[in-house]
Formats: sequence, C-alpha cells, structure tokens
Amino acid sequence: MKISSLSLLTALLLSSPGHCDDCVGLYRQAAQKTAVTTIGKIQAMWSDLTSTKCGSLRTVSTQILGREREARTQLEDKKPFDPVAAQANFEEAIKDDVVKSKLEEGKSIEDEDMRTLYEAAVFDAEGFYGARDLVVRQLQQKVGMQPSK
Amino acid sequence: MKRLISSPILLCAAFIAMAPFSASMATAEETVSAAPIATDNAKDIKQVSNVALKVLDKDCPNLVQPFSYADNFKSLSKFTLAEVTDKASNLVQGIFGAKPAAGTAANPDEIPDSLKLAAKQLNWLPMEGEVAYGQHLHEQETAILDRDSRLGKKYYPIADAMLAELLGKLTEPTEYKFQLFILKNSTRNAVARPGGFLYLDQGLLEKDEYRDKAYFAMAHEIAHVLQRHETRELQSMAVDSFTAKKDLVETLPKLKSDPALLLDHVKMGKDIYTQHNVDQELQADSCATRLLARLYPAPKLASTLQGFIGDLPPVDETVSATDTTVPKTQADKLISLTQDIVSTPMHRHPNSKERKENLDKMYRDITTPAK
Repeated sequence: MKISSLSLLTALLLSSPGHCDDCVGLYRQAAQKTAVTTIGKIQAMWSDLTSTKCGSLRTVSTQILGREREARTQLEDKKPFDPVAAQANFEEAIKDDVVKSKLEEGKSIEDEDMRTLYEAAVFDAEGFYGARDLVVRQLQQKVGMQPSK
Repeated sequence: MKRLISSPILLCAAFIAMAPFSASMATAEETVSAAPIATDNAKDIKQVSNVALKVLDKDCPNLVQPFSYADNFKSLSKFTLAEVTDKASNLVQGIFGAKPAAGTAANPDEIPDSLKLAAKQLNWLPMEGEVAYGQHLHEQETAILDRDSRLGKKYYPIADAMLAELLGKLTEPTEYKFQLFILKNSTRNAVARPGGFLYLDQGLLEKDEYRDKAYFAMAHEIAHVLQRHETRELQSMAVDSFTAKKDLVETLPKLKSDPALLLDHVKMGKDIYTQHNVDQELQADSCATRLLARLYPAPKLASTLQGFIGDLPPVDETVSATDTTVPKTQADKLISLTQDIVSTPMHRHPNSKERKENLDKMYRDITTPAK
C-alpha cells in the first residue's frame, strides 16, 4: 500500500523527538485526507492541530494559511520581512548537522509542496526562523497565497 | 432582570455580581490587607474623554491601576456626585448594593453620557473574566516555544530570571499571576495579553547585545497588563455594545459559566478598528521606565533605554515635512483633510521620535532630584 506524501510528512514530523503520542490520532486522520490542493491538505491537517504538541507543524501551517492573529499590545509595529537576513539564516541552517539530517529524511516525501512544508517545520523546530519564514513565503507564493507580512 | 441591567452602569454591576462570590471576597480582603488605603486608591476623574481609550495619566504616576471594586466604584461615585444629576447618583448607589431608585434605571436614555464615559475608564471586569479572556486569546497563539524543547530549555531560564527580577521590584499589591512565553520569532518584539500573559520574541534573548531591550520590552508589557490597557478597551466595548446589541444582553448571564464566550463576542466587534493606541504605548513606555528605575541605577537605566531606542526604526523626516504643508485653497484643505482621515489609523504606535522624546522626559523626571 502506497503511503501518501501527506501521511509520510506527518509520520516524519511525529517521529521527531519531542512529538508525543497524542499526535498519533492526527497521523491517522491526516492519512485519510482527500483534499486535492496543497492549501486544502494543509487546511484539513490544520484543523486537527489543536494540541500544543506537533508545535512546529502547527506553527508553519498557521503561517502558510495566514491565520496568525496579531496581538494588540505589541512593543512595536511588526517589522517587514527581510529577505537578505532570511536568506543568510537559510544558508546557515542547511549547514547545521541536525537540520541536514532531518532534511535528508524529508526527501522521501513525494509531494513537493508537502516536502517544503516539512522543511519549514524542520527549520522552525531547530530555531532557524528566518529560513522558516523564507520557505513559508516561497510556498505561499507558489500556491497563490498572499505572502505573510 | 433585563430592565435592571439595561444600562451600562448596571452592566458593570452585573459583571461583578456574576464573578464567583468567594473569589470576589478574597480579592477585596487581599487588597485591603496589602494596602489598607482603599480610599486613597479612588481615582479622581476630572475629565472624561469621548475616546474611551484615552489615557489620563501618561506619565505613569501609578505602576498598578487600582483593581479593587470598592476603589473603582468609589471613584465612580465621587465623580458622579460632583458631575451629574441626583438621578445618576441614585443609579450608582444601586450598584453599591442598594436597589436603584424606582424609575432611574429602566431607561438607558436617562443615563448621562459623562457617567457612561466615566464607567469605561474604571476597572470593573472581574479578574476571572480578564484571565479567561487572556487564556482564550492565548490558546490561539501558535508560535510558542515549548519549554521542554532544546531551545526552550536554553531560553526560558533566561526569560524567567528577567521576569522574576522585574516583578521583585514591584512593591505594589497586584493580583496578577504573570505567565511568560517565548515566541518562535527571530524578531525582537514583545506582546502582552489580558490576565498577565506575556510573550517575548526569541530574538530578544539570543544575543547579549539585545538584553537591555529585552528588559525594556518585558517591563513595557508588564505595564500594559498592570494598566489594564486591553482590558479597559474590552470594558468600553461592553459598555458601548450593550445597548446596541440585544444578543449581548441575552448572552450576559452566561458570563459566569463561560466568560470567553461573551468576551470574545465583544472583542470580535472591536478588532475591526482597534490596533495600537499612542497614549497607551507611551504610558507603557513610561511605566517600564519607572519599573526599570527600581532595578537599575541611573547609568544602567540610561543604557537600557538606549537599548530600546537604538532598535527603533529611523525617524522618517519626510512625514513631518508633509504635515507642515498648509493647504492654500479651500479645495486643497478639503483634500488634505480627507487624506488625513483616510490614511491616518485611528490608533497607531507612537513613532520613534515620540517614543524617544517621551523616554528622555521620563528619564529626566526620574533621575533629577526633587527640589
């Protein structure tokens, strides 16, 4: 039986250290998703990500779907995306051994967009937020979403 | 019941009545025992703003806004007796426990606008409601760094120590139990939510060079909570929306069992126009400076403020140049006015120049010995 790329993505994320048993249900549900488009798949998965676990997948999915909620009492206005800094962070990230290892695992994901989502989640989990934001924006542009501010 | 609560002021009373009784009692006792100056905490409302969000004390004379219900209603009573009619005074007496005088509360049209505005500036939302609302918003935050993650174990101890250090200098009694979270962002922003929820960007903690700004950011967000900025807006919305929204009246009795339901309902209406308020931000800056002054001697205070100021965006000189252009004709004036209304947000963050000037003033006020 062929495992869908979405299932594999979820399985890979769930198999990462720090992702606990309560995500198993999510894995089962995600495997049954029938959405065709990338956004549809992410939306279907996002609705299951109510737990505080699977945090990185939830974070990047929220970003891609543009569902971040801006708080009112912020210290300062949100600064615009800095592509140069993000690219530099990306270059740094792909040299990191843990990131390299996880990205290598992700190569088995057939669906290119799902693989990109996985990569964004890896960058998030390892603290390379500039790289994460860069990849998220690229994916948003590719699927026709308005890039995050 | 509907007739009785069909005024904004009685709405306040309704909120209070719905707070768990034992918790309310504990609140009052704690406040009194910690600071037996309830009378002194009564706020002297000398003016009311037609903008509910307006801050009356931008210099932050009090780091903690009075919370005790007794203090707040004493303030309202004081204001009422001075400013409004006997009818309204009877109404306020009704809030204190006695029945409102017959015929005074049934018609919302009988409530003076000034009394309604004064009610918006007091703290009457029960702490339980505020925390529930903050918790509701918190649950929508999806970028929180897990404390048990590798990075969480690295950065939370730093942030926790900072918070403990700052709160250690807060000598005024407060009922807040602050909860601190790190956001997975490389930027250097910070956020507060009602009920004591604080959030710092991880970018503030990654390098020592941003430590000063991190302290300022945390003090600033603590100030937002202690001044109850967002909570007061929520109260204002409740007061405003009460007479306008029948469904809100019907939802009111559900507050005790599910405060988030009502609070979020009110909040939904205001998100459309509420962003940032200049006065509140400047006041939070001022309060942060006062709190940091308790932690640091003057030179270190100066460098900490500079850590924040130095990371602000550069001042856009072209803005002020444009603003000073005087329209020559009536038509130009109209166009200019229209552009101003359309392009200027109702609420915004103060610009870098405003913040720097305010912080400079606060620093001078704090470090200059009184004559």
